[in-house]
Amino acid sequence: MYRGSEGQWAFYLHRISGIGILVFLVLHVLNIASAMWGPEVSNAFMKFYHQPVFQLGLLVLIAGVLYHGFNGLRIILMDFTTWGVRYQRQLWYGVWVLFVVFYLPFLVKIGGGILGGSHGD
Amino acid sequence: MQVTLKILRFDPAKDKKPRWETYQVEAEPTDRVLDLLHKVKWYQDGSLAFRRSCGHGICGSDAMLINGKNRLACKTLVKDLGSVITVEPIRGLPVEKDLIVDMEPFFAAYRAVKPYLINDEPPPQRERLQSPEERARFDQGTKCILCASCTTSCPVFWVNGTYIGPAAIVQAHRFIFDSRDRGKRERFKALGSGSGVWRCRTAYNCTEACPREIPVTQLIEEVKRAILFDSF
Amino acid sequence: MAIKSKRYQEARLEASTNLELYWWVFMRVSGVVLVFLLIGHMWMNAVLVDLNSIDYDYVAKRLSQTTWKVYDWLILALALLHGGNGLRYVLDDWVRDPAKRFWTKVVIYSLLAFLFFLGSLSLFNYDYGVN
Repeated sequence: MYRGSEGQWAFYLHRISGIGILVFLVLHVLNIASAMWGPEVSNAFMKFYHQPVFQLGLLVLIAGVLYHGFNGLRIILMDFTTWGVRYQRQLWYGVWVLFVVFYLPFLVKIGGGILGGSHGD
Repeated sequence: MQVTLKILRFDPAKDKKPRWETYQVEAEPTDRVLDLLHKVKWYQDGSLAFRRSCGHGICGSDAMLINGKNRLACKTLVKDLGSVITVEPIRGLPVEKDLIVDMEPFFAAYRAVKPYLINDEPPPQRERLQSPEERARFDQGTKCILCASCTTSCPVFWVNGTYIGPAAIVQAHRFIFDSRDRGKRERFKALGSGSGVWRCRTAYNCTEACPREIPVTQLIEEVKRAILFDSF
Repeated sequence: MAIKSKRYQEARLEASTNLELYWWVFMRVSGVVLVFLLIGHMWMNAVLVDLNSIDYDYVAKRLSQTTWKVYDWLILALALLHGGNGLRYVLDDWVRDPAKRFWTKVVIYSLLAFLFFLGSLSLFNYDYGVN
């Protein structure tokens, strides 16, 4: 493994989260589109995805979206400001601060749901 | 001190794949990695192949992947690495033997950005004058020694090698921002293609690898903005 | 400028269009929009409501309102373009064999186009019997 520092890991994480989000998007659109075949089919899908495993997956996904989004803003700052590149490391730590702030409500709500044994029935 | 030196070796006549070879070398903490390679080649195993020329960090011959980072063997001290040192050839270029890679794809990318002054205007009586500020604008790019540390540290370059690479973009920057130059559109052509500057994903390995401390990513972003503002 | 390319691939690289620049700009513009759309989307459907209560009726009610039709369609379109182009970047960077790269792209672009069609259809062509 090449021993790069923050910039390299920001890049790899951006890639992995991006691919993950795209995979989720495929499943998510198929799931929502199933409503076209009526309530029975649709509810069966929904129930399937309400299993705790998928909720954990959703927590990972939300983490991915938040990271990808905030790091994307960091990339935009680097591209369009004269100072962004110089402070890319600090910006990356800023990304993580924003990440934690925005992720906590999701973690509490969905994580609480999983621990509380809620399965939508 | 005793140093364990692990070198990734490859002999095209014998090996199908590169193999690790370990050497025990007696070294001073202030020795350079290049000195260790010399000790191995001169006293232990004469078949070891590597490039070096000036040995003082200016010819750009001995860029290697040392302890997981691209650096010049002649500018890297043992005391900064510890007692176990791994040396591999730089990545993304075809290995010819041991630590020697074929630099031709790297220089092809360099030539693609036309690294020379382009100006068809009739030359003035004496010289093309430039203010100190105008000279300072492209100063950082002039420090490049074409060692390929940056280009071969780039995750985009490693697999396909079709990316023009940070070194070529730094060279383009040196002329695009030169007040005497009139060839920026020609260079934008090479840089704007599918293998050009837009493939930079800002992973910053290049900036960290540069032994001349050129802010490579900063220069790449300036080139991106120059093309952007030129096109819109 | 003299023509120097010997192979089609080289000619394509040499031919200069601004296409890559436009995609680069699109990634940034769509990215900014998506950040806000997606945080809103996730907040509304995962924090403000219990995720596990989401069923056919919830989806039907939500998607029969024009606002959410447009909101969700915007996410669909931008995310597919942004994600599709992002994946193209990944394939260009990390798939070595040109033939493999080409066919992977064909499959993925088809899949994304189908998804766009399906998603749009389910957003606009049905009112789920609510109206």
